[in-house]
Amino acid sequence: MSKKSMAARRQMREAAAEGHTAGGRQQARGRSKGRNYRRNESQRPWGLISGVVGVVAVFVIVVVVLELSLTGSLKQDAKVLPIPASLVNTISTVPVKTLEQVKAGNINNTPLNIPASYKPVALSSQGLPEVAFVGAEYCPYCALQRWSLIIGLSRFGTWSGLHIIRSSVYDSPPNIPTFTFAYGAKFTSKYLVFSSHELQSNVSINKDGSPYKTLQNVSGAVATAFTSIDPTLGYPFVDYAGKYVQVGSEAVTSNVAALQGLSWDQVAKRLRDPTSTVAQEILGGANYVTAATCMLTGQKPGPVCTSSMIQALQVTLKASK
Amino acid sequence: MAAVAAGAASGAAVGPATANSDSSPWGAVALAALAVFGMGVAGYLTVVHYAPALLVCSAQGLVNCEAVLTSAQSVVPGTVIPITVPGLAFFLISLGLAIAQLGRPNNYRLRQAHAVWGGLGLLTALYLVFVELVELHNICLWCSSVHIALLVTFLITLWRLYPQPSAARPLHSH
Repeated sequence: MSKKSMAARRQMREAAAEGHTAGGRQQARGRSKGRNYRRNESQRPWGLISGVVGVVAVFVIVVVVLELSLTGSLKQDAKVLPIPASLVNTISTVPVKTLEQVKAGNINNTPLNIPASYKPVALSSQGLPEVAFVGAEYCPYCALQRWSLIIGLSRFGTWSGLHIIRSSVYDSPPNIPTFTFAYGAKFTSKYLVFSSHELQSNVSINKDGSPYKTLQNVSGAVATAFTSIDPTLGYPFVDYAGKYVQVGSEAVTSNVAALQGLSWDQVAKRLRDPTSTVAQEILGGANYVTAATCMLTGQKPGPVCTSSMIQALQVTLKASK
Repeated sequence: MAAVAAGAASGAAVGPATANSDSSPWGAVALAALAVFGMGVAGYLTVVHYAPALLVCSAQGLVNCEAVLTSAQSVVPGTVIPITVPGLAFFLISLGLAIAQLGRPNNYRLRQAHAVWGGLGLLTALYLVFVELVELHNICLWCSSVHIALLVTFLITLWRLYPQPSAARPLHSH
């Protein structure tokens, strides 16, 4: 093979590889006309694209249909997730100014003096007064009460191990964002001991609102107090060392419904507005929790318990029956 | 001679640098535009995460951006980083891939990489749609616009994969 021939071959090879030169383009065009080349346009992936769009559409439709068919409109959110640190911080540091502005809020069922006729059980633990909560995860009124308890008691100590849940979609109002004291929640304080008893979960076995899975038991002095004060065993039940007790919802149903479908952060955000329904319910309840607890701790800590607003609520509590 | 030339063409077709598929820039331009759009929305939602007052969207009913964007699922699991930050990074990389294809329109490997990237984005979008509908029972329209952008991005990357370089090869060189 001559040098000239080899050079021509090299040139042709480069031209074909680059596809940029006129020779290369001509060569490509020439081939594309040949019977052994597929036409580009005929290879557009219409089928593939239609398939992807179809799969996405089917996915969305199936999810929506399953959602609607399972519960009509809602499906129980049975997730139990650790509370985000930011949320702990937010609800543990509700500004005192906001709490003072809310005062009693829109609470229609406050803690009451336990009459002597009920033979109140003095709850205490480790030499400290005990505040006991009995409730259930499915219960929407317990859901509201937990917000008030957590915020109110956070003025006396610190929370850890809280988890976020939603109340049952089968109860009314449904789907209230709240917390659970089960799964390792702990309250640390030098003033009091907090005990919690979440008797049932938010998972309905028959998926119709009844029965709910058993979660925890209540025993000892708390069980005695729980069964003797309210034979109907109503939730939520908060016993302040056998001196004050709250049985049932702290707010009317329509106001509990203000939390329905909200996220936890949305609730936390509304707590910053003392005029909001959410703040009026939760912070009003929290102030009563604080007022009742101060009467167990000998009005300690001073900065919390000597507030004129808390003192005023204590007057109300002392007069309650 | 024809066989040699055909072999050269064949080698060029399967190499990383060239493709005989459509070299029109419009596909890459569209991908870049979608990436910019996605970055814009993801950036906005990231700002909203830290400044909720800036959110422009319904906060009641099924369409409730606030409920979605403040949910426990709105952050990268185990962190406090809003999930829009990885979204921003996704579109940034997508923009880079699109720009690279504008500069090298015949590079088939770039197209393949973008298709894989787009596929990952679409899978993530489907998961987030699932979370919105099943876990949160709320829809965020801003998020939906990003999900649609992800779907369209993937479809365009698929479109740009065809015809494959091998299709320009002679099936029989003799």
